[in-house]
Amino acid sequence: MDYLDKFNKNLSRVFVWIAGSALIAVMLLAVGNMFLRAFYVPFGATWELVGFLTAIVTAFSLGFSQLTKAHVAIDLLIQLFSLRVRLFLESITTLLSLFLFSVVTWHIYKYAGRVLEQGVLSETLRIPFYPIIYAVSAAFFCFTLVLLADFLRAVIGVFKK
Amino acid sequence: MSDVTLAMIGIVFMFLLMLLRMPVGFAMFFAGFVGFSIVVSPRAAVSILSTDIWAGFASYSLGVIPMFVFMGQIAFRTGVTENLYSAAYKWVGHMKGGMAGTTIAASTAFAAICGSNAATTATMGTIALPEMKRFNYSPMLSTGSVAAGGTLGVVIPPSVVLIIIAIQTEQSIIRLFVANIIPGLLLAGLFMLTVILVCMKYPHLGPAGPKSATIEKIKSLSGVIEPLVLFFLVIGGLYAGWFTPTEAGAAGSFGALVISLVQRKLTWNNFSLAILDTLRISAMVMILVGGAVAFGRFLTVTRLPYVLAEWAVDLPISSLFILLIIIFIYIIGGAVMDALGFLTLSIPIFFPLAMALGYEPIWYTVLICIITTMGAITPPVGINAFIVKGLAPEVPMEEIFKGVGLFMMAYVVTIVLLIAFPQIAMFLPRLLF
Repeated sequence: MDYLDKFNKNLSRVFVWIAGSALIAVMLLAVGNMFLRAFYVPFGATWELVGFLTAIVTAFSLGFSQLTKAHVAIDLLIQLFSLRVRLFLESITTLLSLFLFSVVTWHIYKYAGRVLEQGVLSETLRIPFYPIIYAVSAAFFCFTLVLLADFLRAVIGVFKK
Repeated sequence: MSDVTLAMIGIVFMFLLMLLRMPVGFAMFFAGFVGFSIVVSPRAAVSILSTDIWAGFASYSLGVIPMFVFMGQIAFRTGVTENLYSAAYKWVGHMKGGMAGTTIAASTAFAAICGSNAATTATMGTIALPEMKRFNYSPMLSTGSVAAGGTLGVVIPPSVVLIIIAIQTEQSIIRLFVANIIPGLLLAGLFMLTVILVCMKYPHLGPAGPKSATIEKIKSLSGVIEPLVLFFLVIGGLYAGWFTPTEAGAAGSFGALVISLVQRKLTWNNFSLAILDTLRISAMVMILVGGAVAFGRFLTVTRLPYVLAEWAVDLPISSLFILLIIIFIYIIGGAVMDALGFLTLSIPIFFPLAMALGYEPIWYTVLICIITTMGAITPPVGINAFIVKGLAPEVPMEEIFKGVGLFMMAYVVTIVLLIAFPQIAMFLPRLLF
């Protein structure tokens, strides 16, 4: 359990660095393009690149957001139960989340494979963009690992308490 | 079993998951995924899930979300507000309740560069609560003014909530921003009026501070110039068509970074904290938006929103009465749930209904934005009240809720005025577009 937590933290830290760099890149690209448009010619691929970078910003932050419990949840009902019941219910909802996002991860991975096989290129730059889809599926995989750790923690909690 | 019945079961199932503390975005995703699998097919559900998620995450338009969050976080972390607060204090601090008024005025100004009520509350609270304590303000008034003033972060543009509603309902972001300006200022004005009336009746709640000389007042305005320039750059640039909403967010973030550099307030530590919070919030928002899209697709294939709209239109009651029911649902929803969460999940259900009843989309959006924002200060969830509690742990929670209760009437009056006079929201968009 400790090993998984440590692995998740380290992986999320790396992913957050990538996401943060992509965030700055989006800002600079968009601002740079505004100046280019005003004083020279706009950079035509801005739209496409900002899209790809936004995918990196958000997908690579998913694991970190789950680690820091950033997602909005309602505590009203669950507070009424004992700790053991709370952990039991948490294990069920986390298992459902784990199932959902494992399916998502797998299908984004398969989608990247289809894009690679079909040789699909981006509209403006005409470059293959399947690596970014693979990267997004890797980010979702990191997210599911954090969910897996949360699930295991809740299950262990049920039996320990 | 009919598709509409399945949709109803889907909604109940989603709320059940939420009550069991599944995060709101996950619950919408899960209910939407399961529902779509049953109504259409599991293969179609997973196919839509993968392509929709990729299309959503790699969307230029959704790039607007991290950019505006980043702008607010830079302003929040680098303490641009300190100048705003001292300027506002110089102008109104000498009046009874002047510091509470200062808090409202500075929150209004900060809201013009920050689109989040939590960030506005935390920022203003950090500065204002110790000051008001120093001047013997009643904890009820001081905490109430910080929590209520913080809600202006969402109401006054730019606002992350408005951006998300605009994306969900395919409306123009800039029109929604412009439409919210007058209602936001009206609400801020009513908050100020509340402070004045409360302190007229109970002067001991907010003793007057020392008076500033006119020259000091004028000098203090220098600290307000940069945030104001940033606001006009973002809103003006969008309105003039200089840049897209994503570029406006990027320009705003860049401008906020430049201001904090000029004011020598940017450190590596607060810069990295701003980035980390931006990433956390952006991921959370994207999951909410993605969940709402998945859930919305499920509702669309069941045709529930349209059936509901047709049914409501045929009811032998006035559309105003139906609107009041919707408002009631939003008040309850906003009180028990995070405003953004409730908005994203309720829009696929109620927005088509409101449109079928003939309401103006911009006006309706402004109205529900204000109503759900009120939820940030109403018990039991009242996020702003909890943030204030974190900043002033010695003040009992009941005292904080009593304090925000003082400002509730301002919300009620704003909502009633908006319903009675839709021009409050529609005047500027009609004038400018």
